[in-house]
Amino acid sequence: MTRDEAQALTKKILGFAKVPECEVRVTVSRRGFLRFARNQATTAGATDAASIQVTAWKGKRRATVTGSFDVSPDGLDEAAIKKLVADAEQLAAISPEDREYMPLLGPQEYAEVDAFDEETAAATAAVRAARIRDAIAYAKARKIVAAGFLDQSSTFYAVANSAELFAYFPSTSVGFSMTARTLDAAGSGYSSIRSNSFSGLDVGEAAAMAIRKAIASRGASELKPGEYPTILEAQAVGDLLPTVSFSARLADEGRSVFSAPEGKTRVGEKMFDERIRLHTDPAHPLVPASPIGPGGYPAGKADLVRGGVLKNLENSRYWAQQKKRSPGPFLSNLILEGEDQPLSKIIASTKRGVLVTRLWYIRTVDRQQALMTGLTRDGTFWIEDGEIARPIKNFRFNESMVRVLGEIEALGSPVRVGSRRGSVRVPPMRVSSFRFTSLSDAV
Amino acid sequence: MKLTRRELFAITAAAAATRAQAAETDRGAFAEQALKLAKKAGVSYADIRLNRYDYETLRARERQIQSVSSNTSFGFGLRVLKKGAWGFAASSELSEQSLAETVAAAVAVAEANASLSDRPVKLAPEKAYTAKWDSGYKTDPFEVPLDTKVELLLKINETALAVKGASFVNSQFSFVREAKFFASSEGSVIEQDLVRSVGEFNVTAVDRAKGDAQSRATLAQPSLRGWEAITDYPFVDEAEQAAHEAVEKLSAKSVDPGAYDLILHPSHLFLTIHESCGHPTELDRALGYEANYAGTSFMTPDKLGKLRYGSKLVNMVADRTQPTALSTVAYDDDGVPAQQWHLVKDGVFVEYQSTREQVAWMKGVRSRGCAHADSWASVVFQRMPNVSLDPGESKLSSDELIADVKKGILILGRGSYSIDQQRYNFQFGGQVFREIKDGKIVGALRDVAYQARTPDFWNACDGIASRDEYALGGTFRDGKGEPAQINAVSHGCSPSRFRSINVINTGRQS
Repeated sequence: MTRDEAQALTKKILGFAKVPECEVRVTVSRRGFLRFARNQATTAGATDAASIQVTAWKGKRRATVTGSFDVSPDGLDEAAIKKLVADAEQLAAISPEDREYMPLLGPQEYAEVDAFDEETAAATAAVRAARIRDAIAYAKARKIVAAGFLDQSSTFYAVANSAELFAYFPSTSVGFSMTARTLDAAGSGYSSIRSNSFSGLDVGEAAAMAIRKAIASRGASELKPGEYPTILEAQAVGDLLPTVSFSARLADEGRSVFSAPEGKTRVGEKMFDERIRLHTDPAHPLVPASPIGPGGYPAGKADLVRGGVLKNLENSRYWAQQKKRSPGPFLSNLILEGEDQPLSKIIASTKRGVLVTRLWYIRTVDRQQALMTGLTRDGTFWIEDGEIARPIKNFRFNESMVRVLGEIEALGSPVRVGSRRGSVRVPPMRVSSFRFTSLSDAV
Repeated sequence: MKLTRRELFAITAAAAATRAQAAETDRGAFAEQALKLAKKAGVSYADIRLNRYDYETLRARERQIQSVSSNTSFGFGLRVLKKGAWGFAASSELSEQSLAETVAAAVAVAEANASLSDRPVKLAPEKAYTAKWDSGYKTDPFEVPLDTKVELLLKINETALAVKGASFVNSQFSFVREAKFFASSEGSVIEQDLVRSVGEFNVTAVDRAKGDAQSRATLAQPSLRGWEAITDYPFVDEAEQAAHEAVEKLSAKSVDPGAYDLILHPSHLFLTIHESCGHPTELDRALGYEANYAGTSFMTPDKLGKLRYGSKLVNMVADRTQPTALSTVAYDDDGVPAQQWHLVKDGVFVEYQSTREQVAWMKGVRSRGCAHADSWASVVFQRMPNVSLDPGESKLSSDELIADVKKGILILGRGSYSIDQQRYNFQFGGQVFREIKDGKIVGALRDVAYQARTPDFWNACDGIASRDEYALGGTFRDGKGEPAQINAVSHGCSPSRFRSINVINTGRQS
């Protein structure tokens, strides 16, 4: 779906509306994926899907209706789309008034974001298989059992409303992850990478990394649970950091780690190590993301934390109006800056501590502390005198990322990591203490 | 105004005459054409699922409705076996051209996969079935007037907020209808319609002076039922109780860490069953097929028939036939009839969950009908059936379980939960915690979570209440697979007692 096609389609849909306020979102996606396990392909597929979402307001009454459609110019079923719009209008008419109603936004300016790669969008099942073939061969040669996933998608997203707003964002995304396990199931390693183009994805290096970790993690011994200086690899930081909520409303309501007593928030407070800069920028060339925020509001550049000081929390348009603030910043991606040093240098400068590859099954335990629990996985090691001394058994942790970011001893070079929570670029880090509360027998 | 969604969408279905709807009225012909094209392309097996999914969700917070949304998704997914490898393709376009392209895409995927496979896929023999089935309901939730739903949500919220100290409340109703059509190259043609409903709320009390906030969520559970799942549950009464309990938690005693006997209510224990028995007895996990995401399992094939998973009281039964349970169907997405079987019998691990394909993976495996895909656009793979703990055989009550506890905690409701990738080490919180001393409940506790190792935990089970207190819990959104899929699944149990379990304090640490 080109920009012109998207504009024509959304205009046509809005033209069907009888209510003065209507918003339409169109998503057209093509996805291809290949899953492998036990060193062979398992499930794989190719899917095409298109959906249209219509939100209609009748006064302050609002309803949203979504349906699957054929949106190709020659397959467009206008009668069905008209009906979808009418359904939204009728549903809005019988919905209660939205007490947090906000008028539609007019035309907006968006950051220019280049996140679409033609070659990636056109990749076939044969291309995906070719990428995986070498990873499997490499694993077999090293007597490793590999399981992994390669997924590639192209998505065309458009939003428009009856106040003349129109926004369009085409993107491609490709990710590869692999878990390598030794034949005796005594060692396990993991690697995950993501890019907007196949050319930015080094599947061979990622596979090799997972295999190296699997071999190195064999024969893990127990280390007593407790607090240890800990190096979190970038993947582990990327697993934990997005669990922190930056909602201004929750903070104002006293329900967040960023709440201060008496209805205040901690914005402006130095909560973290002064080297911490956490920000969002949809146009970042290495982690491009959608510049379109909720309701079509632009998702721009903004600092959340700078110099260790909490600078901003995310305000919805309604909440911003209530609190007389600017809406946003809407988090299109999450970028934690680091320092220019590789992980190996951080390890070399560590007297003693735990090295964590990855964190898993992370759940909130106490929102007021941003306290999370979860486990280490796929390679946990003990470091002594600047070297990896031995693999150790996995731990359960109960820890707060907000506390951890105040305990920084070293930061490495940031990298984009595979994350189920969108585009995330973070560095590895060493923190002076991390709380491991029990041992896990899992490998 | 009493216009219902059914009325709205009935009009959509009939009058719009979309190609989707045209196909829906002749799904048989569309499927026949798809299977014919697939066979022509040289596949050894093919199946097609033409499915329609309707979702309705209403969300409220405090005294307002936040959103009313409905979503309809319709399309087809075609699965083929060629050269011993799976291929899959799906589309929301139901034209002849799209069908031909989708068949070609599925075949191309299979051919590409075949070059990466040295163990050809073999499906266990299965009869061909022609069947129609629906899950049944008293009242179609999609026919209930919107204002009835809105009124109840706002009443729940108003009731909670009327309690002094209750600061916030979120609530929502969600309804799902699946109209599934399955046809295979082996001759099966199966139509199934399912309706699921859930009501949820969460009340929060905030102490702004102390900077503390405590919540209490409903103990209500989702089920394979209609609107009656909402009206049969005392949401309004519970909202008041929950609000009091959220406020109570602000000043409740913070638990002293240590070993406690735990009495776990079905509204809590269902999730422990799900995580510590439901997942590790999935055969694909045990053999490494889920290693890259959900993980593997400590219940490896060498432990079949040998592992003392739990005490002799522990019987875990997989069951896709259990009425009102979320994973109940007549046939799975391989076209295999629903079944009931033991995973753990008298404390011993005796069988896995399995699918047709998995019969060839390991000797002794039977095809148990656990294949599922969460959408027409998703690949079919092994998903969890309802897995439940059998009630105790004696007439034991939860009061009697409590009476035999010197130092313990009664836990109700689903709280924070986390378990490792082989399902050994877990940590669970809850919604309501009651301290037990010398056989009696003496007060409220907060900041409670317990940590245990799966076999240790289930071997510490020394009492299960009778069927009189048996109840189903469940989840709409169990995640597994890549691309990630969700699954709705229930777990039944009676209140049960576990001796000397490690309890940690999750309260302020810094």
